Amino acid sequence: MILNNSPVKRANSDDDNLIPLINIVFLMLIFFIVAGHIEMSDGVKVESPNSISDTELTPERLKIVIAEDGQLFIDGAQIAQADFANRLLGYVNSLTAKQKENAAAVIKADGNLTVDLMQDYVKTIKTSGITHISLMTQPSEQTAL
Amino acid sequence: MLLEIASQRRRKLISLTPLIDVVFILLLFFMLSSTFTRWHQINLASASSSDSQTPDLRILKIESNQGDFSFNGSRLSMNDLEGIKRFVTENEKATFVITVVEGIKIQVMVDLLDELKRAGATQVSLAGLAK
Repeated sequence: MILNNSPVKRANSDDDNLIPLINIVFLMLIFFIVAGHIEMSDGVKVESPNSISDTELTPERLKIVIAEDGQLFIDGAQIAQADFANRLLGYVNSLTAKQKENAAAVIKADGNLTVDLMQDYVKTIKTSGITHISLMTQPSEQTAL
Repeated sequence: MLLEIASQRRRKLISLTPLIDVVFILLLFFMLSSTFTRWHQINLASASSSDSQTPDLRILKIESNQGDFSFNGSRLSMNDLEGIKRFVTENEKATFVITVVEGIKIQVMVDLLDELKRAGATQVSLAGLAK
């Protein structure tokens, strides 16, 4: 009788069991790369208002984050209210003449913020020469009635 | 003399365990950093919105964070879906302008915009503080 406990079989079971695991991990990796997208952090937690609006976000825009306590953030860094107008002018001046015509700003404001506070910022943005201003919303959780 | 040609050829390029380590780290990075929220927007101001004809305006004023709003002195509530529906069908071709008093939250203003749109209004704009 020959007992077949040769080392050949053991060597096989080492790595070959790992290949299906790697396949699945690769699939998950590809899923997250394709389905998700990486965003720059806002610098502060903001609960955007929910809305049924289905207008897609303007691709080329300046994102202005207004936190619940009224603090301003651009590109993840806090901006003092006094510097806001200068910061906007800097952005507008960095654009080419053609881009300036379609300069857009998106406001990501907290839903609990008051409209009057946001309107002050909108006025500042308008005076800087940015003509397209919009409010960022997320799809509402409640279903359409 | 021993020539180790056979063992040279059989050597693996990369062993599996470090490969899995790297793939796991990549997977973790993408799982933690990717977001799936689909962002949308509401236009607040745009240069191209000036039509040649003067639109027929219905100016609504939101008066409380509970969703009460008034139009020409008559009071309506955002929670009164029937009332909104009737109001919108009565003024089908009109442009609705939403204004607010001080202290109204953005979410309440956006909710009224949504309710008007659900009731069938096509032209709704946000005007901010009531004068």
